[in-house]
Amino acid sequence: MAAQRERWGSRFGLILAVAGNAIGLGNFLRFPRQAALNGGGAFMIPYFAALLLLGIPLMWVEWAIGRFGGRFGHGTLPGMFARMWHHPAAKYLGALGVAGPLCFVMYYTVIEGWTLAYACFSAVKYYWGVDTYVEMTRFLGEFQGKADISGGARYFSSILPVVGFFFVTLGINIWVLARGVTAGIEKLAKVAMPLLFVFAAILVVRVLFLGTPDPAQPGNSVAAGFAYLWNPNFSLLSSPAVWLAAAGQIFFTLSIGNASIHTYASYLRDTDDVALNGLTTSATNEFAEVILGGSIAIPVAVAFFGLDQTRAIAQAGSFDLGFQAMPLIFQRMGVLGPLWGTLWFSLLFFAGITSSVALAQPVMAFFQDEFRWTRRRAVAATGTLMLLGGLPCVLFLKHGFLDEMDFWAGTFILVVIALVEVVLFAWVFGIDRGWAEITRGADISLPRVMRGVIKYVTPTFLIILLAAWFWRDALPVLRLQGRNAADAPYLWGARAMMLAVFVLFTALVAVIWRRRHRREGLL
Amino acid sequence: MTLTLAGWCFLIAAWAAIGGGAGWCIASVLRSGGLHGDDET
Repeated sequence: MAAQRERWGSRFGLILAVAGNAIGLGNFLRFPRQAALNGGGAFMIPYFAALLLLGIPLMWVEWAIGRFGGRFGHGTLPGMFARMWHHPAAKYLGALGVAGPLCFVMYYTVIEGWTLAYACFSAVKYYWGVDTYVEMTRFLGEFQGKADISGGARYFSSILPVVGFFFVTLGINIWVLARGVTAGIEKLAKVAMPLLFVFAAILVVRVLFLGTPDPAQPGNSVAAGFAYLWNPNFSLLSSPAVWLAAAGQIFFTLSIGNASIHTYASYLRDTDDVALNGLTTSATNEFAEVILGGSIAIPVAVAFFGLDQTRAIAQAGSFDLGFQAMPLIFQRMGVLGPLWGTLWFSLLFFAGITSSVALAQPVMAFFQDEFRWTRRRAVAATGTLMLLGGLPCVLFLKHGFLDEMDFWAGTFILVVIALVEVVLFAWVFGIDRGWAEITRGADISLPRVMRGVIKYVTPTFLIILLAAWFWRDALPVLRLQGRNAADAPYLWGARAMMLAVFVLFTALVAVIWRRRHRREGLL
Repeated sequence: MTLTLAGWCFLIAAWAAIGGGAGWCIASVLRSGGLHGDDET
């Protein structure tokens, strides 16, 4: 059974694909904002603590679970959990690991479409002349269909452009998935990731040489931007919120808990290394985040807008920084402005697409491995589900539909999946067997202290993180606190859709295991 | 606003740790070769 599954073509391709999965928009937009708002250089203390105690251990756990599942022909969590824990509930817990990434990719593809659109807009100077922050907000709002255009549209008179870019992005994703693991995902990673690094490096060099763009305002400089990002504010370290922000950032940046690493690792052979591969993908991601991501958006924003306005933009959100501030900056960067804009949004698109195909692959693997569907049939079903779930995110964006999905599928569920998997791995499957899985075929020797970290520290860290998030964020979100009453039907609609996806995959898991039980006498 | 000494220290330490870590990982991958049992060249 396992022999019929696809395999990675090369280690280089595998590492680039998993690094591409991890490197997303968050590396270039979310990290610098989080660091700037949460203590600057001092943020790196909780950030590195979370990387060592949460990120890297979970990365190894996910790679090990994935390769273990692949041994039995399972590319997704239902089968993997069922092999790790011989209890009827295990496979249903695993259904979260198919429904979760599917809900995630439904709205992520929409955001990816925005990056593609803005790359095109930059290349043809479509937003040139939109020269104030307020107007750029209007431009983005009209493009996304959020702005009220009843009094007349200034830039986009309908949502057709955003829908069009969503379709194009979805089509590219489906095309890559349809080509399979080696010819599709791996080849994409081999092209997109080097391009991403080259584009980011070019932009970093350009930013470093910007100096003080307006000599009349000597305080607005790249140096001041780096100072804003790196000068430590130690007083914030006593705030639990800063530690939570660091842990959350590590979670999102490494793509932990969205079940995509498991699926990618399931295409490994039993003797392939997971320890060094997992560490290398983490390190590659950190390089893209801290060194490249930290050297573009915030420093350049301070250089052009000054400290106070950049602080206000950063507080407003990551997308304000990426889609409103940056287009204004590119217009002020001279004759090569369109080039810098195209590079910036193209690198965001590459970061996005290498993540979205990874998020879609668990669904593909579920249909292919468990239902024995052909790749063509699996991609048709996956693409249809992505389309059906993505469209409401586009159409009801102004009602908070996408944000609601982002909170539950892109934030909350990740922590739940990570907690479930680490408890199953370390306590049910057993840390001895688990450690043997991590170190099997390892190309590096791992410190045994990490056994204790995986068994005790990481689950405790996750329980604290989950409890704090639930108390601080989930309860207010659940109760729709501060939300417009008119948006409530749409927010409940988003929740109903996510619940329906989970129920669908739980039911499919039940069907498959009943069939298998009849066929093999196993449950 | 300029980078303070502490700011420089954090910047250099973080870049060195991450850059060095990534470099060491990639060198280790190159040293240990391709996927095990793989016939890639």
